Amino acid sequence: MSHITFDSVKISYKTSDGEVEAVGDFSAEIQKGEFIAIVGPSGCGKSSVLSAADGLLKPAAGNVYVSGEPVTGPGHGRAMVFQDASLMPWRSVESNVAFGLELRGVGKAERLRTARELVKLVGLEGRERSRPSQLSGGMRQRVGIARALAVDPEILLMDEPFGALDAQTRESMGMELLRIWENDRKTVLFVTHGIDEAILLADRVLVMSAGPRSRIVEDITIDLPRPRTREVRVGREFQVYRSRLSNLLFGEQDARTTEPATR
Amino acid sequence: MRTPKRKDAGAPLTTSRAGSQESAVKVLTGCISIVVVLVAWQVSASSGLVDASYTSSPLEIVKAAAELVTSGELAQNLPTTLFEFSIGYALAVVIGVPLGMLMGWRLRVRQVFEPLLYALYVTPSLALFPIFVLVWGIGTTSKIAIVFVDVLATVVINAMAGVQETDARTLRMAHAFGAGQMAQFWKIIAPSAMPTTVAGLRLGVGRGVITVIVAELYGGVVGLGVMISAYGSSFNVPPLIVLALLAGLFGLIVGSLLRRIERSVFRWE
Ligand SMILES: Nc1ncnc2c1ncn2[C@@H]1O[C@H](COP(=O)(O)OP(=O)(O)OP(=O)(O)O)[C@@H](O)[C@H]1O
Ligand SMILES: [Mg+2]
Repeated sequence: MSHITFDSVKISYKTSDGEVEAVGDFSAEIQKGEFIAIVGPSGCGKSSVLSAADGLLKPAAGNVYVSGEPVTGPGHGRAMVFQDASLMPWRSVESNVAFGLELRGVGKAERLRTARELVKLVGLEGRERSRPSQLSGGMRQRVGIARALAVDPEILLMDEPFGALDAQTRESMGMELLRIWENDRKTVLFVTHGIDEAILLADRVLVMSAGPRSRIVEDITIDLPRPRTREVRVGREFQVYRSRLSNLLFGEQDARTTEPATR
Repeated sequence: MRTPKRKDAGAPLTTSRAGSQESAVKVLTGCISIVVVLVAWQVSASSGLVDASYTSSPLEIVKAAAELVTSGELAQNLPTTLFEFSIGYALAVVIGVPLGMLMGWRLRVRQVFEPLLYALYVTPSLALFPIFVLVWGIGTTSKIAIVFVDVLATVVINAMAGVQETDARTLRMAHAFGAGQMAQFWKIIAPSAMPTTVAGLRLGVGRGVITVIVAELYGGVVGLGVMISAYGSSFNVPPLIVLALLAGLFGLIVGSLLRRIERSVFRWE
């Protein structure tokens, strides 16, 4: 059985001029331990799909299933990482990281111990007591990731977690995420605008069409060896995936590589 | 009426050395300007440049202050004013903060109380005072009541605004991590509403001090306002100025105390 099933998920929003069907028909099967990237034009409904997977919004039609059970609300097995980190400015780093455990009623000593471990894991050792306002954008994003990992979810939902970072930080954060993910291979849904990022990180890239009524136009399996390093980028296969994805997203004229050969 | 505003991720703490140096300079320049004014005042009064019976002079004011203290007049009147203010203020805070937060959080509660509170907020409190006197007499109770009403409106409106300014994204995050309504309130809404709420408490001090004195001016047996009224009608200017300064000083002290609390709010756990 697949870990996450999107069964003809349709998502609509009520606006001042009636109901808008943002996502038309989103269907996908995701296996346990898969790293899935979702790409698509801005406004096509990537965040909406992620919200539906977390149970933050209810699909207008269709259903999301996790391990065969329909998702009805935010649940223990899933944790979200937000684009703007969404940290609580009045709390210290460790207290932000411990937030999910605190909500689950884990005792203070234990949740702080776990939080400190994760702060270390994301490379922020020594900053446990800092306030979010004293951190850089990349550091804040690490806190957001640590907070999600702290509840030890089976599924990690990430909505453009590195979208607000500069290219260099973004890439090193991606590599670090992979290092962490290699430890226990959680199922990951990773929304991104970056084609390179998607190829570098994911096992499969789901490409969505522009909205309204967006759907998956392509489901590309990224057959690159793991563990991956930055070097895969210069390889020929990477370029092939890249031009295929840019074709899908921006049309033929923008494709960089001369020869989008099939393998 | 209000749309919830999005807040910045965090306000930077201004505890740097440069910051404290800057504030020392500010205090120093403030002191210099005060000294200059006092000297000019004293010189122009004693040289007959201005009529000292209207303007008094710094030395006379110091003398009047000493007299107010040694005669025991101040000790007789100040406690009453402080008592009226403190009780009215404390009641307003104890009721106003929860009420305001509830109003910001729950639409139904807001719909019930908002018109009443805005009416109170814009009504000059003195206009209500005769009614309070009719009900409770001219003594302490009516003054407590008017301080309460005046401070309550300020406290409630700010606590409500604080709640409404809660960052929707932070709330969404809490929801995603499984926070129910209660947890969302205690862990997200209440702490993020604190700065604005405490700012409201500070504004309330100013309003409360003014209100208690003005109410005492209207009538009473003891209190700073009663003294001001007495000295005012006999055109005895120096003690009048002493009393005004005293009221100002009190507001300043309580206000800066609350400012301290405001700053430490950002260091919350
Ligand atoms: N709360 C809402 N009310 C009304 N319309 C909404 C709401 N949230 C999203 N939409 C609409 O639904 C569509 C999909 O939004 P969504 O945020 O899921 O897109 P996205 O792919 O994540 O975009 P981006 O890449 O810019 O983050 C958009 O057209 C958006 O305008
Ligand atoms: Mg989005």
